Amino acid sequence: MTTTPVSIDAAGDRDRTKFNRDRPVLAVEHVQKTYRSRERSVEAIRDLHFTVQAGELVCIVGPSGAGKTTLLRCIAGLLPVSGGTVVFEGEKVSAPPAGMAVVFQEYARSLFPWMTVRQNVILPLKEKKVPRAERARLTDEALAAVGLADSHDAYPWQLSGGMQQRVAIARAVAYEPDILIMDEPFAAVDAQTRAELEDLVRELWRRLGVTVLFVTHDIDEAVYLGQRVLILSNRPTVILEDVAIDLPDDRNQLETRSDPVFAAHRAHIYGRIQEAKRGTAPSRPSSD
Amino acid sequence: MIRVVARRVLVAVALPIILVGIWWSVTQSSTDVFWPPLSKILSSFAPTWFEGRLTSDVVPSLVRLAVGYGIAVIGGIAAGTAIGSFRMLREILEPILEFLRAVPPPVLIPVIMLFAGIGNTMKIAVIAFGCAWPVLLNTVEGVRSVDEVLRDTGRIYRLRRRTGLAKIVLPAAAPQIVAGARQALSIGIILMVISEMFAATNGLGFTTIQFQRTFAVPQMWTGILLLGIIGVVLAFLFKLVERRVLAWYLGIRQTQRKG
Repeated sequence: MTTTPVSIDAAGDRDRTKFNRDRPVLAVEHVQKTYRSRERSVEAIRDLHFTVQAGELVCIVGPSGAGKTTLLRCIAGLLPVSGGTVVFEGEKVSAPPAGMAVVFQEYARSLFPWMTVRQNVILPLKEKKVPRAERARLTDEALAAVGLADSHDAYPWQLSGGMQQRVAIARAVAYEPDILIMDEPFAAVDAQTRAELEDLVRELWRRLGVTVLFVTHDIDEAVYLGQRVLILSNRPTVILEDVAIDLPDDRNQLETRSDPVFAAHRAHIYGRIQEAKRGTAPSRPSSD
Repeated sequence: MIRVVARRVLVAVALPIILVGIWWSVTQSSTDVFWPPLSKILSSFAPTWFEGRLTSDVVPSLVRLAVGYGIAVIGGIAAGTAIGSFRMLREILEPILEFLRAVPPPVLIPVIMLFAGIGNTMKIAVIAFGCAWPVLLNTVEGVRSVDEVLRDTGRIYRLRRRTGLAKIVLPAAAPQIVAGARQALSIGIILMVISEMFAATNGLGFTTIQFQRTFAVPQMWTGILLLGIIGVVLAFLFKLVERRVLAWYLGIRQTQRKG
């Protein structure tokens, strides 16, 4: 197996990494994942290999059951890989690294229902030992950025689904991660809210310059949001294609979605996923 | 609003009033020594309990209950959290726990008496032993079934073990822990009385048994009434605490019922 050379000096020198746009913030190197139990083993991920540069917004799209969540949990250090490595900011990931925040699909299960919105956002900052004044400022800003400046003292379950997911996003943003990973974050909200939240993600990404890795099963969402879209195959998962989305940076729901470029990308990705679903078995891609 | 409250109060007290009324009228002309008229029982209530026995019997009983129950709740939550957090520990301890739980606490009184005597220590030990099981087992279950996404969230934000325990695991397990504590409270009251019936020199259970043995029947009945009242008051106090501790949980349930 080949491994991409990783610069060692990146470790412990976060600032330089952050602003060096040529060095990958995240390198997923021939990652494999096989679930083994006594009776049988299930190969979930066969071989995934890609990098994410600092400041990029990369979408991962794949049919349901493509092991998207498995991949994400491996990247986040929540699940050990069976082969290959995940390298984040120059260090091998074996547990959730600092500088990474995740927004889960199940917002209702990810927010702490016994804490107010503000307490939810501020807890990770306290744990990170951010000084008091600073963490108050970060919390205020994050909640304002997601449009929840008035809901500090509400409990998450008093809010609508879309608003709850905004709280989860605010918590991630206030944490000031170098990479923000989102796992089908809008799969459980209605279409209207979803469009708003998509625009919120684009806006936060452009404003904060944070690297975003966005996992979704929705092709339109992937094309609308991403600078790059990685298409996953069915299980056992490989990357079918890495598509650069050449849409302008200024995107909006109306114009972008009726742009012929958008339609072309959408059709292309749709075709690839249909192929994958029909079971034209993905051959093991040649290592580059 | 006032009408709604009034109606609820009325519904709540209607049946007790009717039952007491039936008791009163049925026993009014009773000459049976074992079933004295309710009026006689009530009139002997104050002289029986409020002329010295409150401090010499009721308070010692309640203190023993409080100490034993307190030990059980704190110990049960601590041990339950440890057992619930580590699978190894759980697998090793499960058979022993199942066995110990099956032992009815009153049969331990003779054993505990051997090394703890017949004083407060023995009674507190019996209460604590009996109350600990529902708290312990509920805590194990609650800690074990903390939502996977909540745990992952805690790990992603790199919460330290202590923070994770205090801010995620225990609050998430709280509904089950409280359910166990409620069960433990009624067990505790029973054991408070029983532990005093074996060997004691004071206490509610001791006094009530003493009345029975000396054929002070109306006084015996007042002991039973007092125990019932104490049970109701403790249950009410428990509910107040529960409402504070589980405000979020009750809130969620309410919004779910509405929506």
